[in-house]
Amino acid sequence: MTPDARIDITGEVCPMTFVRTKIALERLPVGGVLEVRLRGDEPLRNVPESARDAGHTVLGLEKLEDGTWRLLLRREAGRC
Amino acid sequence: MLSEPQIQRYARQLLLRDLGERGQEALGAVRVLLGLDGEAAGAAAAYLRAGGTEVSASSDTAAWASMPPLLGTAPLRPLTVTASPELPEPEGVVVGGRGGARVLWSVGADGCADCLRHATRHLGPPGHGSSGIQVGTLVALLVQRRALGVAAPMEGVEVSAAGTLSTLVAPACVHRPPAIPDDVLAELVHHLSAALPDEGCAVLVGGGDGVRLVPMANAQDAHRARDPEAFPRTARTAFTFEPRAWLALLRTLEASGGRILAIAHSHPDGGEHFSAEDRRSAAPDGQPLYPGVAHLLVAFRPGRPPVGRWGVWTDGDFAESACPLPEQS
Repeated sequence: MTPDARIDITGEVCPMTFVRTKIALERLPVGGVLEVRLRGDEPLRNVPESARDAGHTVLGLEKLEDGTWRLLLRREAGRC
Repeated sequence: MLSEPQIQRYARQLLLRDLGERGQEALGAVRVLLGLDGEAAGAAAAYLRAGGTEVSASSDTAAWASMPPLLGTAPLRPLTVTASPELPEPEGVVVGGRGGARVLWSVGADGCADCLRHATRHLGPPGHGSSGIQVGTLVALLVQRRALGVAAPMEGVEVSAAGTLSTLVAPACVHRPPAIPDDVLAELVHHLSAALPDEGCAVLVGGGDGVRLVPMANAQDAHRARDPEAFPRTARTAFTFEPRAWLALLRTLEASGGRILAIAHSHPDGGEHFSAEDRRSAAPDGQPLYPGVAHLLVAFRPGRPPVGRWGVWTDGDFAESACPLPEQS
């Protein structure tokens, strides 16, 4: 699946990890797919959960060879 | 689109549901003219500015408000905060006092100015009590709700002398025509056209089960047959509800908790405006016979679709406005 946008939050810490993700999702049209590159336990736990809480869909999460994670989110309808 | 410094500054609140980037932009698009003073003004200005909204104060006691804008784009949308008896125009928040309590009403551009005047008519100035900071934070909350588009057309909150909060119920607006669903309007036009060439009449009723039509019979000719002097007009140019049906309807509504939203009648001759007779019978002594009840006129014109017209008692006279009717099938 080719994402419509990509962000790299491997250099961010909480709460900026989800702030970046939330803004990137909001900038996509409904149905758009966002790829989020993240690193570490905290964002791995919180970013997919927060995205789900905000009503978006987690399409996939996979570990890459360099130890980072690739999270795919679909932007759903709603304010943000 | 927010700039990087804005994202950094407002990161914590960007996380809030119903805020996000667009919400933050909406907060930044508002400029608040703060017509309060004392602690309430200081607290309101502090919270609003921290949230990203520009504030200008009519009083120099609001020290926070005299600071230049921190970050942000040109504000476009003015919101006014006033102390009773002054009212915000076209949208904003008014703070007043009643006994030891403070009352705050927030009104939007889609709110009714007459309802606001009515709700605030017994309020005194806000006064200076121990709840100033609490009132200021509530002002900020009400302004932010309006900026974000999540506020009702009119919403209010009261702070008791002891500091207890309660939300206030906005009055049901009687200054604007009620909203009538298209299928009810279609039913109305059907009923009125059945009475042609006489004037037809009906009542629109609101209640727990929505808006419904109560078709009424025009008793004008029956009245005229009994007493031609008191009823000089025929049913061609006048209407009178059949009295027993009208009384029965009022009794039913009293028992069921429903409300009369509007009295409807037709002009078979195509007159598209309320006649002098219409106005006289709706407000015989210069005051409406049924306060809070709107009047709906349907004018039938040969070869053309009927037109609808609202008449609503506002500021001592009937204000007329168009009532779009659904297309006849």
